[in-house]
Amino acid sequence: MFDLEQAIAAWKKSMQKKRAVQDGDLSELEAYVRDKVEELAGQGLSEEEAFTKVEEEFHRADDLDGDYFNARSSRPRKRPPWQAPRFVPALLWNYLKIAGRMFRRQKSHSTIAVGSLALAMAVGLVILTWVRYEFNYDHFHGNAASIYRVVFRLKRLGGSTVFTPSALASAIKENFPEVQAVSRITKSSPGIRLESPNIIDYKSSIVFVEPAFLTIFDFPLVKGDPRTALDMPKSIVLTESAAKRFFGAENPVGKILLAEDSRIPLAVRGVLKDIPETSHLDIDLMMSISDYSLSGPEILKPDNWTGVEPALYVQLTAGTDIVALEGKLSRLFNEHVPGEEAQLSLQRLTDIHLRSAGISGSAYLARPRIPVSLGQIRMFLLVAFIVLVMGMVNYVNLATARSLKRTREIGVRKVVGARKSDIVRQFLGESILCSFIALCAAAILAAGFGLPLLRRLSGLAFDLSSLPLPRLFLESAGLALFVGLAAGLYPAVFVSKFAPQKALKEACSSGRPALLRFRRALVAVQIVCSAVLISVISVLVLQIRFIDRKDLGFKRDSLLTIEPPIDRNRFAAFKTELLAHPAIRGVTTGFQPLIGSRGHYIHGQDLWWEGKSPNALVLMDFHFVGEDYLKTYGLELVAGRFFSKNFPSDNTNFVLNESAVKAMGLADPVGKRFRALGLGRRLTEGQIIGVVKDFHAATLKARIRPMYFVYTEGFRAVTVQFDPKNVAAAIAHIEGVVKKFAPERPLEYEFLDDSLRSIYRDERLTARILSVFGFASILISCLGLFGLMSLLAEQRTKEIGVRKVLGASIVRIVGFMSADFAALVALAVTAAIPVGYFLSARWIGEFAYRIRLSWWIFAGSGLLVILLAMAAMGLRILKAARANPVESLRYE
Amino acid sequence: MIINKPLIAAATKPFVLAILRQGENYGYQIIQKVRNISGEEISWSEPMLYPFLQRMEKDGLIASRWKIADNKRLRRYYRLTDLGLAELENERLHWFKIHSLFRTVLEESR
Repeated sequence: MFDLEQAIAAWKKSMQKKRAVQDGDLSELEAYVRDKVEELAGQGLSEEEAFTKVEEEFHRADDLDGDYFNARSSRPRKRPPWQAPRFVPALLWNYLKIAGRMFRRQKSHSTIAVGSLALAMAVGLVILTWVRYEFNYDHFHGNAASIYRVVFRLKRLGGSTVFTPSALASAIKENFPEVQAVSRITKSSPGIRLESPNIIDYKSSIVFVEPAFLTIFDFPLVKGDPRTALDMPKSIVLTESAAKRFFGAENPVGKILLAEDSRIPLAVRGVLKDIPETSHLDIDLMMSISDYSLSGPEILKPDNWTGVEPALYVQLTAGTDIVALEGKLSRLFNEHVPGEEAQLSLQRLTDIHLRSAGISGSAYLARPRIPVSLGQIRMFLLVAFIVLVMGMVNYVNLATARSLKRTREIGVRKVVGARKSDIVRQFLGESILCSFIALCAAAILAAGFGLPLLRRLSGLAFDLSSLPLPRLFLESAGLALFVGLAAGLYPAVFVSKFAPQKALKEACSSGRPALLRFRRALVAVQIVCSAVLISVISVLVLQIRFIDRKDLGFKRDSLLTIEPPIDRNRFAAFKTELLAHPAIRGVTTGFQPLIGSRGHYIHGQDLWWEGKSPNALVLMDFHFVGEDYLKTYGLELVAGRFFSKNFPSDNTNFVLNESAVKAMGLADPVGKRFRALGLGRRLTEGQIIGVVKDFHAATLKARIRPMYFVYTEGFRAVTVQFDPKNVAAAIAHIEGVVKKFAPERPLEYEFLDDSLRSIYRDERLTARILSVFGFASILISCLGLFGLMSLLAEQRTKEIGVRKVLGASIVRIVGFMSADFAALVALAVTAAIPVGYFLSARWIGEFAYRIRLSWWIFAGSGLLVILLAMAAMGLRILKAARANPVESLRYE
Repeated sequence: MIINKPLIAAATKPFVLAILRQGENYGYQIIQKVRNISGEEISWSEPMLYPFLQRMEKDGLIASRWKIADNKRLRRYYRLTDLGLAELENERLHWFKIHSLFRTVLEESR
């Protein structure tokens, strides 16, 4: 039997649940209900039907509650504050609110936990961005997947190089249909003189390519037609920056650049878009390879199988069997060069940037930047991972400890019916929330601080537009989610196990042994990570100092190099004037061999010496030097004599270094005949007149290479030895003399020390970056320890108070409180030493000449970590120990 | 016909003001009058008028007082204020303006 009053009473009850409906409103609505039922009943409906219709009306009222709220609030909002947003489930909204409240209540602990997580994530983000960037090199080419570089390796010698015999290109094109396109590419030595109406540039470097180059690679032309730009001889293509340099804002196409002093006119036929940073090739000016005679010899003749010069890139049809092709290429070479055996391999374009470690010559076409190796990247990823783990460990530790304070809350929740899974979900929700907050903070930290720092340290521009940013966002979000889950799982599960009655009665102390062991293990992990990082960094820094100070076999700190455009005839006079000043101690032709050494030759008709067996093969570097080279550089002769102008035959004689002699297997080299490339890059035969003691011409990572010297005076490269105590005077004098002889060019000089240092830029960068990591990780560890000690101290406040009252001194209190953790820290550090040793040894193994890994490096690092950890702990405990026992005992 | 909600919401204010100009009314009366005028043509949810009235009262356009009716029901009566009167005039002008503009545009497009 339908009872209207009952129905209305029930309706009223449900209405009262709405928070914005006030009593007056309810009365009003009730009146409406009654009026409406009356009216409908008057129209013939039964009371029940009428009431049902009224209820329908109320259902159609979308959000009566919200409307009432809006009606009264001063700023009408669409959603009253107690309501969850439409897409968020209500319970989740509640969890989020509680999490926010927790945060506000335990600000310091929360900040430490989230802060260390944020720091760790920031480190991770920066590293990931960088690694992405490095792996993205050369991906912008449309054909990237089918472009390969030919790598050439003479069996006798064992070293791989990018320099290939010139004849290979056309031979490949003829014989192998699976090769779609082929381009040789070579680069002139820097220092070509180019003149435009606007400026004269003395340092230009031109890249020489074949016509197919522009179809293989995606280097678009902003002006000119890629199919015809290099058709005509003596055409040149500029990049945008080169165009700006030579012609300002005008369109350079059709204009003329004059090359070299002999005034060769080059017609500008196109403008290349500037080469993006993420390209392993660097081009400033481009010409056809058929014009290479501008600065070079017959080495590029299409039938030359024995001189290696150009690099070779090929584009293959899809699905080509790489290994088979490599075999065919090798066979092709071996057939054409009897008596020689070589192995040709194909390197993928996208592998070039990072995987060219063992391939010599890879850097000469590239933009000068810090080199980065796969090993380095792996190391950075490892470090980033370690730091991230440390941040997570902190969070887990702190969250677990914090949760002990919330036992009462958990108890209440369980009593009112929350299931274990609800509790777990709540805590997981909190940790995920923390994780996302940390992610936002990390993103800001990374973008505003980390990336600019990285840019500054590495000298790279880090053009982020090449990165797939949406993917990066998604991955970061995924990372935050994972971190939140992983870090929050343990505390969540741990806390959900609290038995309600026990929880409500007492606030659990840090009692349970299992928990304590776990927390201690976490702390130990952090300490180990920090100690390992510190020791590896120390080794790095020491190795770099070693490099900076090692005796390289010549006087490194009092040399500088200049390139005055003075022709041979005037060189003698130039030299004399330079030497006139007391601050100048020596002048000689010839650069330090580090710069611009590029002369690898295979055996054939080229390199030969008296007593050479027909199968012997040596690759040598060669350099042009003057007679004062020995003196200026402070080198040592071990046999024979050095060049001298008193011996006219010296123009065709040679001096070798010890490694060359060793490689040639000559017992008594002085006086023997020798034939190699000499002046004018012509094959010259002469005598070996002397042997120089080995000196480090290149990076300490490689063994000293065989080299020979050719005598000339007045070559464009000049080295000056100066008195290091009188640098300013020396430079001023040099400037004056240069101005006198070559007024049109300003003096440019470079200190040898600087150019030596620049070789190790990547090691320095690694050291600096790792130091930043080391600092971050130590910070995280200390934060973690500090936070943990805080909680511990709070929990044991009463105990400390009692002990103080009983007469314990502050020192004793600090002592006993830190006792367990101190032992732990010491143990952790000890465990870290072998790990640190192992990692350092691997990195340092790359260097042929290196420091010794002595024990005190690691002991010292360990000690440092211990000290820092103790300091962090001690500070907090001290504060607790100093507290007034009266208050401590009242503490609840 | 189903007219979109914002338009109905916009029209409700002038309707209520106009109805109240005739004299004091309580909620249900207003609902009835609106229903009589629009017939069954326009569908809207009746209870939603009440919070709307509260809003108008907060804005000062109308004022309310409670009265006990003969059948012992508590009723809230609403009347127009001076501000409400001025607002009604405003609304009238606005709507007529819109209406005439609309007509002009329609005729031109023919």
